[in-house]
Amino acid sequence: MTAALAVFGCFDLLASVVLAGGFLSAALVTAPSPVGRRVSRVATLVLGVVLIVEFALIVVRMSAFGTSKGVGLLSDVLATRWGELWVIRVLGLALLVVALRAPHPRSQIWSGIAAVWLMARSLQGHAGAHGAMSAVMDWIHVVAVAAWFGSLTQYASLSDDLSARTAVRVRRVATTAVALVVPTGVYAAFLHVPNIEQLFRSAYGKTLLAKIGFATVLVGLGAANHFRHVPALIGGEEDAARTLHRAVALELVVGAVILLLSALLGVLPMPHDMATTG
Amino acid sequence: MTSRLRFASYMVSMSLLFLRPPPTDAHAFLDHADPRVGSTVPSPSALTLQFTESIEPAFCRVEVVGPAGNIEIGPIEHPGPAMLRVALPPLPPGDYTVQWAVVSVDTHPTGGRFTFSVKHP
Repeated sequence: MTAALAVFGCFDLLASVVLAGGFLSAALVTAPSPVGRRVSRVATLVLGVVLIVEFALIVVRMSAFGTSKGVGLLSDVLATRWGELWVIRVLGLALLVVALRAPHPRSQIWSGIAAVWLMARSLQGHAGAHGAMSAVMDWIHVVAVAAWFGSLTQYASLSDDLSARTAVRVRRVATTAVALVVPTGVYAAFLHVPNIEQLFRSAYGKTLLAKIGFATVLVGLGAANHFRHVPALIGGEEDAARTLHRAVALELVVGAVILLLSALLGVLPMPHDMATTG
Repeated sequence: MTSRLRFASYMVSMSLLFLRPPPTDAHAFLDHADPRVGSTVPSPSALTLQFTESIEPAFCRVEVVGPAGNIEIGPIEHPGPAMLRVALPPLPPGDYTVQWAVVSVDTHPTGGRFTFSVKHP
């Protein structure tokens, strides 16, 4: 059950970030290309399936603890806070699908709606269970990641438009995202890992360390783009566009690994669990 | 100011906006109970469990096992977001084990058990 939730949680996070990030990129960087629109549509499809499967898995998990069965069980799960937020996420997804089908969606408005929609996901998880401050921190973290990852995804899909102006905008989004992701990530780490020993001994701590390691690599790749590849593109150097494209592709791969590890953190037992029940 | 310095100063200033939060449990664990864990008390009229995190009342279980087996307890009440309460019948002297299983609002299940003793009045 936990493994299944981890796998689908990974697809959930990845699809949510790509979808919301596409809208944020449209508002902050440039209008999506046909390939970029197709990527967003695939993300909605994946997320639609994943949300249904996650609901089914949660119903199965909850059935072991409740007294109701059948329709009553479904009703009870929908009445939980997680269930109410699930409904909000489904309705939000439907709204974003409508926006994707619109010929000329207003990117500023829809990027705001997509960002607010991500709040439901933050409230559903560990962060939401810890209170408003923790949920807001997680939301800032996820929105920043979505803007960063979404902009990179959309940039990678711009096969004909590797203009310096677009690259500079992506650089600006990435820099702001890093400035938000790092402190909110540190906040979450302190929130979930009570002491340094648990960071090295627990599965949660080790996964968090792996995430920090890959995040450091990602920041390094971002710095290379920021200080070397984008200035080279601005300066009109030969092969600069191709080099930047390759660097962005590598960033996306590392970013996907980080999202996978983040999803794993969402289902792994906390260090406190092990101390109490182990 | 060079772009490197601007980048570094931006990073530092944003980082300073956030302070270290207090560590939390992340799952609903038993914070305290009444009767207290391991205590010896006169027959209590109710059992109260306070958890470290908000829980879903529809998906909580409490059982009390005494010297003669399972105790018939009242329906589970939910007086607070992280609290459960069950009415108890008069309990004869002896050792009692409370077994609980709850689901936190982020759907993570936890469970545990503890004992208390009832003394002669």
